[in-house]
Amino acid sequence: MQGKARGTTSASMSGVRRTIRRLALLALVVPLGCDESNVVEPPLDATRDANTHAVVDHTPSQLRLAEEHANVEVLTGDEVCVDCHRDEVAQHASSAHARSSFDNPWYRATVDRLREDVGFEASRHCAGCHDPVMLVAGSMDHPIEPDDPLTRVGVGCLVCHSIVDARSDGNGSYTLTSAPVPIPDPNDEDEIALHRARLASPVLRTPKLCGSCHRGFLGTFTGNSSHLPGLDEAGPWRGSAWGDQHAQRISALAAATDDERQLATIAARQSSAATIDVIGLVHQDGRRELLPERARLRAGERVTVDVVIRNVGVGHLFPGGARDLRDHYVTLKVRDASGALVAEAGTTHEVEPDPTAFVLGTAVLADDGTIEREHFTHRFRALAWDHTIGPRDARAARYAFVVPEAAALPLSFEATLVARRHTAGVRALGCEATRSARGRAFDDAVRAAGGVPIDGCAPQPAIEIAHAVLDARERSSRPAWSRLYDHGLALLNDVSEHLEHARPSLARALALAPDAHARAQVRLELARLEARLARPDRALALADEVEATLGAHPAIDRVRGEAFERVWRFSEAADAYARVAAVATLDTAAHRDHARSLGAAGRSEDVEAAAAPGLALQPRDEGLLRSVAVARDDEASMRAYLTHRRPDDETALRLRCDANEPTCARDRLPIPTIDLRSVTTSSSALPVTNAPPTSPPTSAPRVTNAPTTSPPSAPTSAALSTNRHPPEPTP
Amino acid sequence: MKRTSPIVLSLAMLCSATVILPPSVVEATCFCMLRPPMPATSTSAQAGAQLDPSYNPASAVVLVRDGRRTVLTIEAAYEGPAVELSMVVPIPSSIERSAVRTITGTAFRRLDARTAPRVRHVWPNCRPRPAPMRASATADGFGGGSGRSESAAAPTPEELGIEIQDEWPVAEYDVTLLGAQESTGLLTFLRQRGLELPERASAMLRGYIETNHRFVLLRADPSRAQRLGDSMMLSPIQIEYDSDQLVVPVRLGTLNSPGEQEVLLYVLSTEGRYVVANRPNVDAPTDLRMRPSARGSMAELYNSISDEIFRRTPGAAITEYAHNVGRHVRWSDVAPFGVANDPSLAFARTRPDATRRWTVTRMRHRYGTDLRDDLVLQSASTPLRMTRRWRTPSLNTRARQGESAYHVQYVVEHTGCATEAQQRSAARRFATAESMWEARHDLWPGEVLLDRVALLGIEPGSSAPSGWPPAPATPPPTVKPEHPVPSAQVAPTPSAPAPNAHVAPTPSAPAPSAQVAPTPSAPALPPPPSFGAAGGAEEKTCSVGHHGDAPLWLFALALAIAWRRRRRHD
Repeated sequence: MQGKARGTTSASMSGVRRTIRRLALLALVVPLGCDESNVVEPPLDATRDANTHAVVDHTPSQLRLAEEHANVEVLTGDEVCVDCHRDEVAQHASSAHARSSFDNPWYRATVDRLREDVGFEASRHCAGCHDPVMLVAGSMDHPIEPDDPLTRVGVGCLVCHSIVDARSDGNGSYTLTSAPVPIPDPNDEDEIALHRARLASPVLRTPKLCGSCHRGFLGTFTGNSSHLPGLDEAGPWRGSAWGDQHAQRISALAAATDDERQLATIAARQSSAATIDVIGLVHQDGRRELLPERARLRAGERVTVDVVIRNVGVGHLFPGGARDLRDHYVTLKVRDASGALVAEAGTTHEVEPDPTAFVLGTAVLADDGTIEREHFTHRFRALAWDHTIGPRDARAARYAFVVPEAAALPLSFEATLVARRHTAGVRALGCEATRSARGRAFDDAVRAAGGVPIDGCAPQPAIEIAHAVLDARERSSRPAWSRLYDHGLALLNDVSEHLEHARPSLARALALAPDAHARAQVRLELARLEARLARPDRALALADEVEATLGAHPAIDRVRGEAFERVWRFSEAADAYARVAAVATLDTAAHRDHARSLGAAGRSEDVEAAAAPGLALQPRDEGLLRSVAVARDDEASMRAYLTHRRPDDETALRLRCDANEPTCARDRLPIPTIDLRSVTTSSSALPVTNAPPTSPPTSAPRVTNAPTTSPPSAPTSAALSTNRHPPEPTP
Repeated sequence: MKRTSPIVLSLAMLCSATVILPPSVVEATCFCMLRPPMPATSTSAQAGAQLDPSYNPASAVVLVRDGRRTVLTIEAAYEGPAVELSMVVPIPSSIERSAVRTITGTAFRRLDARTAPRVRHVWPNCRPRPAPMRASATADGFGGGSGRSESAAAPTPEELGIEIQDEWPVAEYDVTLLGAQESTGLLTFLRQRGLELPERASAMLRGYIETNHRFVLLRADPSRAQRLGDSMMLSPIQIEYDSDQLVVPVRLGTLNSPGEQEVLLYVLSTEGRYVVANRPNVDAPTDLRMRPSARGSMAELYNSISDEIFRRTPGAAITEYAHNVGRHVRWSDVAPFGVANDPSLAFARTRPDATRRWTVTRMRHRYGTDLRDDLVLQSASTPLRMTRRWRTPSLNTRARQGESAYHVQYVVEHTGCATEAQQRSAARRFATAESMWEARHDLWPGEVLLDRVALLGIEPGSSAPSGWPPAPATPPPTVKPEHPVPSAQVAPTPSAPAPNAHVAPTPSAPAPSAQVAPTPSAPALPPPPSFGAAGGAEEKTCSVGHHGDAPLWLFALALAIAWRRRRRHD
């Protein structure tokens, strides 16, 4: 059937494109088969560029082409989409997908450095997700010039809509077709069906599409010394209780391109991402007062108080994406009864890196044990810490201060969670890249093409995601039991010797819980506490109580598994984990736990079958690969595990970080203790880190949401997410 | 008089160090340090010696916890014939060479004496009041020790002629860091080295393998070890790692134990005192008065009290000490254990960061072969304080708000006065590891105490109840002819195992069952490491210090003698 050309939009449309659209091609897009084999190394994929017929090597990216030839013209023909899909094109135009390539100063700076330090070939890894068209065109193997139009394509409409298959392996693990796109007559149903068949592959409606790029890892192919897992949205999302619609909205781009509407939309959406609270005051003598706003303080005593952040609205890790880039931070202000500020932390972070700011994100170490702050990924060696929050999970930071002698009591506490796209180091990098000659040339090319260049020096908005004021004169809008529950959740992420600190909050939450369902929810966390303290009898008894109330649920069996495993009752643990894996089939951790416990129980013959579903979801999971390697005891599986194990020098690098970085030893703790700055002295409690030059000191737009924390959603059985699991056991 | 130190086989329990011998010399499925059977051509002193099965006498472990950084020091005290021994230590994170070190055993002895339960003598009616004799743990009898850290920069494999890059010598050990592949294939690796493990051990190690532990193999080279006569003395081992978990994996140590075993566990932290999360925690009775006539019986007394606590609360963790460094324990006492994040500061006199207050916790734990789980440590929610107020102010503890101040002290209140010299000569008694090993277990506390032991319901002046001390449930180990029982030992009852004896199956006998379930009875304690002496003046043994400290000890003795002669002359 022949498609009819529709409404040529501009004179820029080449005759070649018209010819292509007039061709009658019945493109029955057939998925090439979901190759779920466990790929352990980036495959060698080479295709021929349709224009030059040169062989184009895509490795180390995992991108594949459906055809032997890559037709770049097809993949860059986005401008025809606007005729029928005006709103979608407009939304996409200001998205991170559209601006993911060399016209993005932050990306350009990091990939240029990678190409300079390691070589062009390594940058194909980045291109698989940032510049797929440039990759298949072979452009990544040559110097990239600002006037190359492909540098402004990014992840265009016709990239995602040309994906016919995707795998769970990340690093661009999708298959792209460059078959011609039939443009239909809007009144012809058959032509529309052809159009849809070509552009709306079934994989577009699966999480594998997103996961093919929103999961990444580094290795020797990218200049790193070992395998390093990177961003992963798909994994935590699959293991969470719900899927979350996700719109690709980036605040920094909106600000850098003066897109006020986009910025407002982002701010509104992020307001429901997380909650923040101040809770759990501990006096100097060890007494605890769970609600600090009612605490009876004594002038001169040193107290600590916890700030708890809970991920209530994001179905993956929060913050997500490349988490070392993120600058989501907490501020805390303590005022006396007269309203005078007496102590604070994190308040100067908006201007320059503040060592008293608790930053949600990760820190990655370079080979000298210092933190790599500019996202030069080829310098990454090992993870120092990870303060991101899983779906429905909570994290805490502890703040210490001395109650001032002259302060009028009682004190009030104000905590704020602020979200900013990039850390200071990356902001500075983007600004430098914008102001460079190369940057100016890229911006000129964007303008010449009718676009808006991204100003890497534009102040990035600091969006207030959550805000809480705890004052003895006003009760919190949140029920106490819910606050205490969140506090207990956060404290269960602490080092093992401090887990018991969660008990007072959970016990009090249990006493205040309003109904049986809420009590069961709290009991489950108490069961988890007992399990982690190697008290299986208490853990199992509590788990049984929860099940009696709520019925069977994989979250309950997960706690049982943990209780058994902690006391080396591996066979029973395996049985419990098997029940989890049978229900939470998309949760990699469930399969990992199951395989591990089977191996420890000596049931090697069952390990491979238990690990297989998990490896289908996450082919490079270290724990799963290790279990299989131990069970099989053969060279191939051992090699697969060794390739993907965590770095051998991880401990040494972390200890070096403790010695080299002022706050590393503090921040490597799951719940760091931060000294508040006394307002009277106005001196930092800790020395300022050796931060790179910051962004220009112009005030960034501050987007403020509602001043009080929004009440959490009513607890449902879905909230008993199997995602509440510990990371792979670091023994 | 030099006391012959009994043969002590001590397993490094903390990281469940498992000790393996080449299969050709293993006659029993042992999992602790083993002495191999003596060949027929050996000296007459060793003729007829039988293979020692494994057992775990009391041992000591120090854990330093600073954030996630953990330094583990194991007193791998072994006194036995100079043979090649191997130990496999599972650790929870990858480490590098500089993380494996040795220290001198005097550090353990010093810490033991500083924190051990002690007797304090006071003369409350003396005018002017002499300073009460603090049973402070000075270095008396311990020898100086050079305090050298053995963590020298490792020579290159080329210099050593070692093919495997992760093998290098540390003191008398050849250390092998098993990489990920070797750790995952641990059992294969050990077999390739000619080391065989019993099936039960393999099953237990599998749990560590699955949870991503790495392993360190330490092979003791007898040619480089310190010698004491015909015996080989091994240096304590120190390993530094990084982990979220603070767990003491003692399970492996139960594999071949004939019965109960005991460990002294020290925790050094800036987070206050520690307790065991998954065991009942008991605070040792303290602040009790002793009869002056019983002043030399501290070890016997504390043996009995400990036995009673363990009998009534099986698996208890008894807290014997919890105090800040600087009170009884000095910075130089703890520095060798890795408190400073810089090995070069291991023997610094002053703490590098005076703002950080370190707490020392000492716990005693006894466990049997039915142990199902490792020890999970947790910071205590409340500080531990001694509450009795003495008339003599120095007996009262002082500490800052929120800090622990606890140590086991029993007090002898003397009538009248004593000269300073008499006070100094007053017997000092500590319930150190060695003194407790050498002491009896059948001294009824009521006979020597003037105060009620509330925890155990023992009244002062009471007599031992009938049937006390209860007979131990484990079979009595056989005393080796070459390991005579120290003369201070009370002859054991026929059913009670001798303190320094161990089960000794004949070569053809099956391996001792490691699943003997101990009944809550008072077992005989196996001998602790005997390095140095912490006894009182009149019973002070001239045991040579530890690990070749003899020359230093003798030098110190000579100086003391010379000083006394000079004073008399003056």
